[in-house]
Amino acid sequence: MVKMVLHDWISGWRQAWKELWKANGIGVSMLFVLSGAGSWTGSYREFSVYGKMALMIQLLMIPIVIFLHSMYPNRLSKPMYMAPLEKKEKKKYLYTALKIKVISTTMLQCGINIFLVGMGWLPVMNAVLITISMFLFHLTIGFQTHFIETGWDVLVFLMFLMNYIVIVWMGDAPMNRWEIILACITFSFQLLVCAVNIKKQYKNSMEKALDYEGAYVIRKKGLLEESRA
Amino acid sequence: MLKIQNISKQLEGFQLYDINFELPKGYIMGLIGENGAGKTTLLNLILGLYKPTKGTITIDGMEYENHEKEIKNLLGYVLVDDIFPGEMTLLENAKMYGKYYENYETSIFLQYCQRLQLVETKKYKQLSKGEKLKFQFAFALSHQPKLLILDEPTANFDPDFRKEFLSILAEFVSHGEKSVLLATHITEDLDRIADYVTFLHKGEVKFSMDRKTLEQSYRLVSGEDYKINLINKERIIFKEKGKYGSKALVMHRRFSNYSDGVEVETPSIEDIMYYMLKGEKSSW
Repeated sequence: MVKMVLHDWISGWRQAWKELWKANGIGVSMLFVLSGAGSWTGSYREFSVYGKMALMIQLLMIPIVIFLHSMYPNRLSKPMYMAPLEKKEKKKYLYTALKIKVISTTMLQCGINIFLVGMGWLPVMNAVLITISMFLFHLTIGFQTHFIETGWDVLVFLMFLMNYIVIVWMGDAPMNRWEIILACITFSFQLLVCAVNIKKQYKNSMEKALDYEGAYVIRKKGLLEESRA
Repeated sequence: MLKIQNISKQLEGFQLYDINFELPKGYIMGLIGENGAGKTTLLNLILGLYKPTKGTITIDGMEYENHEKEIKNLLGYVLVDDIFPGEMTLLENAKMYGKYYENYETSIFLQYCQRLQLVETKKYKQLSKGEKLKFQFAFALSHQPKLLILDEPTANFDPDFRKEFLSILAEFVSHGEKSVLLATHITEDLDRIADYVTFLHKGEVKFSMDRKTLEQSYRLVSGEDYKINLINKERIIFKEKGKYGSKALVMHRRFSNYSDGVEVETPSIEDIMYYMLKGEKSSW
């Protein structure tokens, strides 16, 4: 099953990019612009050159990660819908796909943070906090893009904004007390948003994703609409 | 084997309306109709991809509501869509999806690969359109279904393979326990193998009957126009005027008489479809 999920994921790469751009080119562009703005903010906060680089890498990761999340599989392939599968087996497939997406993108983020810490560009504590924030971000976006039309609603932008705050304010300097408090407030809020979102998505969209009509036909504005129907 | 009762399906801009027909065990049914008549929608309903707005589909005595898994185990399909992962080899694909079917056997898949001249180690994306359909066909047969659902399979086959394909279908139903529902534009294939024909038009069944009854129900009459006009107008489905005479599809009864000098022949399925559609258009 993992092999199949991975295969679906990789094979949808090019298609997803095209459709993501078509569905919300403005959204994607905005994320890149915000990433640039983040680096600029960094220069105001008088980060070191390495700090700015760390900041830029972190921020550029966000649109890349959203793109990764937007890829397949957010539903079953047609032969799977036609195969004699129990509902729970279909759910297992969808959750395996979701787990792979969330874990792999978070691992990617961890890898980058370890690199930045290793290079001495980012303090360890900051890296840990950024990773936690990113994990929540991935989980939210993962669910969002997994079960509903697009990942581009207010919620995702809210999560993005919070991520943005965490990353920009954590910068490359060890945090003071107020920055830690700010980070904790942000995390709590992210956690809340994430939990509410998961509950909502599960209730509304899981059932749809389990049958072909729900997954392919009803989603008229789907990001990956009908592409494999 | 397959019983469709009062099936309706509402989709955006299209409706299947009150479909009824039955396909007994051991027979092949041809599903014909122009583009957009509703053939694929109907097949999607039978395959359990769509849920009907109204009516029931019974397969081997079971309905989807309570026996979805059992029914899907009985169905094999060949669809025009490119639905299998391209990066995987044919054997990998067959094994991956085959494991969900109770009766799947890799050895049967390999046998059919050989028979259909497919290289099982080739990647799916490297296959031509016709070969992709052959793969679907080999895979469908490898899990030993009781009902084969085929959507326009022969259009991409070369003439030689089409014959082989039709002979495999005949073999498939020969034991009397399995059936085939074949949606096609190439009605010539149906003239060769179909036992039943269902004609869909604008989401409704125009007719659904066995071939013998169909052959007995219509005649293609050609000759001078005035002689064809002697036939009762109610019996004429559509008359086509040519330069040297006319040709008409007429409803035929056992003791129907025709004027001397007109040529009367049994129409092919394509003739029936053609004249019926023409008749429909002229009455608009």
